[in-house]
Amino acid sequence: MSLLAVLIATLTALAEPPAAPSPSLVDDGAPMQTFERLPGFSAVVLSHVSIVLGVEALPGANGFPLEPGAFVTLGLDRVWAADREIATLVEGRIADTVAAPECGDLCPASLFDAFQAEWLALAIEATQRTIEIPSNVVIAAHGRLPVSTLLASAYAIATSRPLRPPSFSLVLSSSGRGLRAQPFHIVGPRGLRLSQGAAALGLRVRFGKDRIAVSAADPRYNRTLRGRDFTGLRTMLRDVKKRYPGKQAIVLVPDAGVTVAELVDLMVAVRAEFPRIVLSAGQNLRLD
Amino acid sequence: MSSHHHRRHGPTAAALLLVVLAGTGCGRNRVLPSALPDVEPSRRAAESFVHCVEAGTSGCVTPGEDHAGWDALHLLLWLATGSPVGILEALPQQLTDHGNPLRTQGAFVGEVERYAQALRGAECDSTASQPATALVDRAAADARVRLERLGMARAGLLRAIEDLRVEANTLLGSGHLVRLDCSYDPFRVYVVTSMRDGRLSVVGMTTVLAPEYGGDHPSRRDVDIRLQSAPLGLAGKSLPIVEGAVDEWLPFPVEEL
Repeated sequence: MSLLAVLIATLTALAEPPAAPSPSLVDDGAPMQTFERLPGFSAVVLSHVSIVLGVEALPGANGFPLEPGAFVTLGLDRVWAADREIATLVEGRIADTVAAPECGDLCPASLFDAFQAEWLALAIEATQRTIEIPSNVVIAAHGRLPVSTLLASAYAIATSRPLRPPSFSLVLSSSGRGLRAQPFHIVGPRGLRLSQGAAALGLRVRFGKDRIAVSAADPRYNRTLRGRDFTGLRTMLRDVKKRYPGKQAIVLVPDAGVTVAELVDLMVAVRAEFPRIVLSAGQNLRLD
Repeated sequence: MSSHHHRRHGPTAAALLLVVLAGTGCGRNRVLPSALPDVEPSRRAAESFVHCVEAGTSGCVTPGEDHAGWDALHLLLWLATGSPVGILEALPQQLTDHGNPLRTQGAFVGEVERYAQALRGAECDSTASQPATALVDRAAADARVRLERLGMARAGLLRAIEDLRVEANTLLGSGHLVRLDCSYDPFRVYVVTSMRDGRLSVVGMTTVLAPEYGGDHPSRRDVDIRLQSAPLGLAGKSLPIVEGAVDEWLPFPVEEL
């Protein structure tokens, strides 16, 4: 076939209206009607969590609607990226002791590698299916999981993601309302250093089994409030809020022995006054 | 949740035209059947195809070829292993596109163009081949089980899976999926061949395949390199930080901290 003939044939083909969808896929004459019956994201997470954890294992609290995103499940013995098992845990703890420098030694190398491979798969999927790489990661964690494992996983997920860290949500089981979400941020692996001119307070709560300490990175705040329960904490935070009404963020620094369920209780206690919740593994937060 | 945009554009009519214009200058990916075992012509066809792409032309994709068989198999593999959030978002459009021959061909052309530059010097050699139909049936069965487990297997979707299975088996027939291992990015290339009217053609390509279907887990080095590679369009890309935000980790106004 000559080049001209090929060109004409191609132009003719391109001028034709798009072919009808495959008959086999449109038996009812309306393909979209079929796919409108796909479940919502929350239902998919619920199905997976029900099988691998049991919904009753999730921390219970009210929260926000679950936004679609990549989802990760942290059980006491395994880690899943969506429904793919990618790592094992021992009683909720990570056995791998080799830290990944990419996450500032805040996550194990094996977990960093596993999540980076997941991001690659998502990036390839994005090119093939004309979608975006998820910018939101939803984590369903067992209530008895040590917070240290949650944080290590979050740093592995965030530092291995191309372009920028994702936003995070923790999945909550809300009585009568299905699955809900508690959004959170994490402090960068190298901590945070701001000038006092940045007008930040840097309010933080250190939280252990029997201690709660509220302080701030701003040296002008210059005090540490101590309490033993959430009632006292709420009172302290209401007082802080009165003095700093524009502040919305609070940095939570849980001890290694704290569980995810206890962390969620803390989140619930602070979010009425400070809804932007930031988790830290103890990195420096400085205002100079 | 705010999301950033780096949406890829699908192959255009101009790109398809380019395929045809360039097509006459390339050796094409057709190999006559030989007396060798059935698998050998497929591997030779796959290597010829990759060499054609390495030579720097898009004309390696045969215009007018029926690419729906590969597209159906690729959709089944995606349903069996892809991200649930991606499937929820893109499946309706992907199935609609599947019914349009121009779009199925365009998807293949787009994949070839995306990796054409990288394949030059990637040093790829075929290492394995498997009949496409076995893969089709396994992917369809896995997709069905998986979507049922995830609560996604509504009647319409199960019917679509069965339709895709039948279509892929019919169109790929005696075709093969050939694995090529490469010394450099993209490290793995999987090429699908199809025998139509006595002629062997390459009808599909991908660079990723789950281990259960004959692929493998990429090494840490390979993952690092691929995430920085040009075909994925992520290297050197920087997204603007929200004005007034604390930093990229805390994307809210510093005054709130």
